Amino acid sequence: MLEIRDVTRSFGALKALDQVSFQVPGGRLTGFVGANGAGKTTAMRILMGVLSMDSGEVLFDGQPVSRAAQADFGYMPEERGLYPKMGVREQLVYFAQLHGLSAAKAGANTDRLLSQLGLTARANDKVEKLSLGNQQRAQIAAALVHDPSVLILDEPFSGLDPLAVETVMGVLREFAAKGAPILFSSHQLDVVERITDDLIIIAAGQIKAEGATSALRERYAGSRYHLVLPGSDAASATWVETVPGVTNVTTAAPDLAELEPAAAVDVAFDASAEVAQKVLAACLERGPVEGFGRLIPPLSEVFKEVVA
Amino acid sequence: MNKVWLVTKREVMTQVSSRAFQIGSAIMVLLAFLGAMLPGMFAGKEDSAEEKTKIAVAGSVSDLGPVLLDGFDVSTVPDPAVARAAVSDGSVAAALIEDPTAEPLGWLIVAKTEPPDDLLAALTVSPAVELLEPPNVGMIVKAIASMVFAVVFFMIVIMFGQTAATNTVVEKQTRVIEILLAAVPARVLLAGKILGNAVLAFATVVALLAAGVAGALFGGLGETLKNYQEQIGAALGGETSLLSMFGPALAWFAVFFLVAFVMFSSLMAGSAAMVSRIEEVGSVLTPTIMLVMIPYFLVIFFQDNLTVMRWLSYIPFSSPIAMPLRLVIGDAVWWEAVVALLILTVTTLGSIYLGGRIYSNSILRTGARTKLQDALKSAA
Repeated sequence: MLEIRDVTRSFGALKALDQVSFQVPGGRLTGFVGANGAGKTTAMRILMGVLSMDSGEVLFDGQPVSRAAQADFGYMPEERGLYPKMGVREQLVYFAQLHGLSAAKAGANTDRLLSQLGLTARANDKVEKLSLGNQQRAQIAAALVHDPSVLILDEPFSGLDPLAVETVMGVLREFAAKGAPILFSSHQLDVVERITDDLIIIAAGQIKAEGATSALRERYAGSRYHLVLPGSDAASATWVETVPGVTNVTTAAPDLAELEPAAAVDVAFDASAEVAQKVLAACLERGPVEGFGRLIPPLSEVFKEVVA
Repeated sequence: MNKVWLVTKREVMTQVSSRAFQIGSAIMVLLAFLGAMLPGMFAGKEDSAEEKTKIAVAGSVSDLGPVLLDGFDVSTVPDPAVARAAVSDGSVAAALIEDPTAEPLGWLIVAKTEPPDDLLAALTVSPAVELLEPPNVGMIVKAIASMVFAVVFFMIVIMFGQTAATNTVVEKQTRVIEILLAAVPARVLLAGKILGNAVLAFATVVALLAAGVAGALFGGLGETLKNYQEQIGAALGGETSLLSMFGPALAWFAVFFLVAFVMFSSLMAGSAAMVSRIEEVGSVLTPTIMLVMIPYFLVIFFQDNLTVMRWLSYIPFSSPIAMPLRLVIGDAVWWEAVVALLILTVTTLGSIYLGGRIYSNSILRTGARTKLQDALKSAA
């Protein structure tokens, strides 16, 4: 487990990190979200040891992290960087060797990653000849090539097409399964929502929320429920409104792709758990119900609420 | 250490495989070859000038035979003194003086610095030769040595020092530096970069010297040198060869060069780390380039002033040129070179420390140029 404890770092008058503490557990994917300038990159650089902190400490498996331990971390910096005039494979092998791998192991790891990331055909091309998306894949390979003990990725999904996002997600999940801590930042909250096990939200240099992604969404879910009823019956919505304890009723077409828009209506409302069950029971008496449940807000809404 | 070697290897391999480096090196080697060859070629050409060589004869012309008189512009002078005067003021290339004591011809050839080749060729037997102004061997050797040491040193230090500096900024500009620093400490990167360029610089020096020697032999400059060598040998009692004159100085030069290259390139790479864009490299390198250039000009200008040269041969920035030069002309003994090398080494250690500190403190600061006082602070 990687942990950062009470870390403060200022750049002149700007306090980039203010008493920041959080944990990145092993074997799980931890997402790190925050607005631009919130302090994500600063925190990641400090974790990597490429930036000093004013106060606080970084712990790895409970011990203050050493420079030698950090040299084994895998890092994808915010500012992408590879040697433009060096071949992709040659370069990855070089990075792996710099991390202390033997030439043979470095070569084997490189070839495996290139194949996983779909870059095998471009292995001997110079980096500057690759498309931006492929450069990004090579950059991810550079972070992973030496079998790192920890993986820290600054915006690994930016600039990737949806298929590449899937590929990279797969590579990261596979890596997490080996038990190493992974921390990555992203502005693509839909991706974060799908892939992360844990989430850390930072705003203005302070941690605003931390925990399992599902638990966080649950916490911000409140007491809003929804029903999916067949037919385009606006009357059912009017009827739901009349139930005591129900407020804020809205209707919309259900967002299930397989249903035709006119075939059903999605009714959302605020109510306590018991009232919601009563509404469901009453609805079932009136006719069929296609769906019912508590509304879990998407991460983007949780994020807005947390940061506000 | 293993990682330093990895960085060194990459630095060397990337440059060697770049087209610009290959072409640049080929041109340099070619220039060194031509530069050493052409003077010899032209020296040979002088003899084939259409004008007949002028000679003055003091004595009975008829004794010399028609062959000689046909091939030369002969003027008869009344006595040996007039003939010598004519040689001395350059109005004739040589004088033939009848002298019964001169073996084996009974004629003595008098010339200024060397007897005309065609005159020697026209005579079937080697005559006795008297030179009025024997060539100053030391001057010629010194001219060659100062040329070789000063120019090679200056050019190669600037060239590969600048490469080390540029590559430092390239890594910063392409941001690959963050990935590198995540794997290895800054001092390993800097050491590898300097060693890599030192290897290339040293190899280039060797290639240039080899090309120069080959050019000299091919162009006939070697013959001229060999003549001098014989004269030096005669003057010093036989066994001296060019190699034994240049050899030790060249070996010293090699050692001085390597140490001084590390000194200058660590300063250059260190100062280059303060900027983030290639366009800005020039301005931060200026102080170090001055440190290479000023001693270079001092040595060139003051090479005949032994007092100044003695000082220059101990000052670490000029000693790599000045000390080998003094060794060649026999003005310095071996322990002086050892002392100068010690001074240079201590200065180099200081430069590595200074360059390394500036490098470590500046390499991750992007954007505006790092202030020198910030770069020298202890905390990274």
